[in-house]
Amino acid sequence: MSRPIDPLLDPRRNPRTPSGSARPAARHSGQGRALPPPLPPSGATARPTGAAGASPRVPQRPAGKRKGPARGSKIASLAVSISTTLGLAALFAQQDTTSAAATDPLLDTTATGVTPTSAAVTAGTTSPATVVTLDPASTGSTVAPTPTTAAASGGIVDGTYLGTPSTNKWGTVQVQAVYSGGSLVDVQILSYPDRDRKSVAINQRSLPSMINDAISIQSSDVAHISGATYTWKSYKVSLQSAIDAARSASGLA
Amino acid sequence: MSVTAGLHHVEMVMGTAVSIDVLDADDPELIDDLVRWFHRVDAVFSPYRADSVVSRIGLGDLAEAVAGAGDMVAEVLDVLHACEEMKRLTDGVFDPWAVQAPTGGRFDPSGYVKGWSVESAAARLEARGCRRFSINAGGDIVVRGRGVDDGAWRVGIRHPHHSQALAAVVGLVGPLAIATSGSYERGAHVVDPRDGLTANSIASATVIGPSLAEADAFATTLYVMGLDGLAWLSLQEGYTGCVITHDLQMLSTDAFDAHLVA
Repeated sequence: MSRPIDPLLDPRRNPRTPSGSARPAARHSGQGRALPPPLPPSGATARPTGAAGASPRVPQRPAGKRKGPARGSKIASLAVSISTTLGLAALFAQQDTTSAAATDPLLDTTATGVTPTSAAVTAGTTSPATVVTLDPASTGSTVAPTPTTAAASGGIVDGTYLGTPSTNKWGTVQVQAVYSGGSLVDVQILSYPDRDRKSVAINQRSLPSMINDAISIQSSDVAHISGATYTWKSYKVSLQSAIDAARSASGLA
Repeated sequence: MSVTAGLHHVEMVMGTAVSIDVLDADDPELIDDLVRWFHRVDAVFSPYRADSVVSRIGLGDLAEAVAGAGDMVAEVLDVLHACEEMKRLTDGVFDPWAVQAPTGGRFDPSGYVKGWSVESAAARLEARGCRRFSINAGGDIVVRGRGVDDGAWRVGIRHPHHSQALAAVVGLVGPLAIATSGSYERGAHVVDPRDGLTANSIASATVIGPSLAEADAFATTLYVMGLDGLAWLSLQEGYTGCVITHDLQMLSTDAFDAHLVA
């Protein structure tokens, strides 16, 4: 099914300003924006300055509304330019939520990912390697950046890593991954079957895990809650019930 | 008659609470009409009732079941057709014929019918001149026009870990619909018809778009597809969405973020 692809070396690799050097601006939708690149894992000492500044996208989330846990600040921005048909689906591998070291929950953390060209490991970096997988079920192949010894020891050298072009039944796909501070900060689809070309930007942010930090229903003045599924019994004690009662009592105002 | 215009009603039907807010009308008959509609839908489409049309269809009794649908024949045919269309649009991820219905049949269109029935209810209100209202059926919601104080309807998206908190708040100006499918739901063992396995890769999926019938089915599809589904959803004209992972990362399309107010 999925076959490993040869490692690729990207001539444009630039360890100092990874997110700025290789981003093909034209491939992003004009409104492409995302949150700042992730911070390095705790203990990391080699975060390149300028990584955030190099990003052409500006964070627009209201600051403070979404205070996450410490890990929450490591918000990866994935602006993904794709052209696609229904088969595209799989830009991302399923995340490994059980991995405590997973700083990029978006992506699989198994160590068959992008290979640095050098054996050097970023000091203090504990971020696992990352695999960018195109769903084998739909594409029949995997863009597999190469296995690496650095990954095995938990480090990815900053830089841009180009994936081998992979051919599926719709055409050829090629991606590249950008690492900064040991974390994946960007995945770019460089080419995709030229059908129904369109751009999609996918933004990522961390939600508060503690209820005290989460958005309060009472203070947010919502009329409804999506996803709050109530059975007949549970509705009697539900918050939607309280909201409805309040709205009814106040003449909906 | 109250000085304050508007209607508000909560009806227990279709196994959940249906909350109706009409801001620009005060004729109680409007509510009565919708209540009758929802109970009629429940009688015909409930997969929990052995004598419902849907249950009989699931047992292989299509022609007779449809013939017995009475004044709802057109609606039954519409739903059957729409379910086939949804199955096609979702590459088979949304497949009412792949679901084991509670009464033993092999047809359970509930994932489409709830949203469809609310969308139909909205059309009934619009036909009677209503322009500003919302209908919430167990967390799947349609809005028309603007909400109170002429602002957007503020709709919270449930936090997947805390039933008493929100993950985000969106502001919607109708006509729009929003639906969320989550692992915390009752009977949340959503099976991916493609491999027969239970979908569990993400905590919840939310879809915003013009029709609740489709938004509801798309939310289920997005939930099954997981992160990969965002790219799929972006191909559906007019629809945007977000997924929340088990470790509380929220991934969304730009168009979805345009609705975020908190």
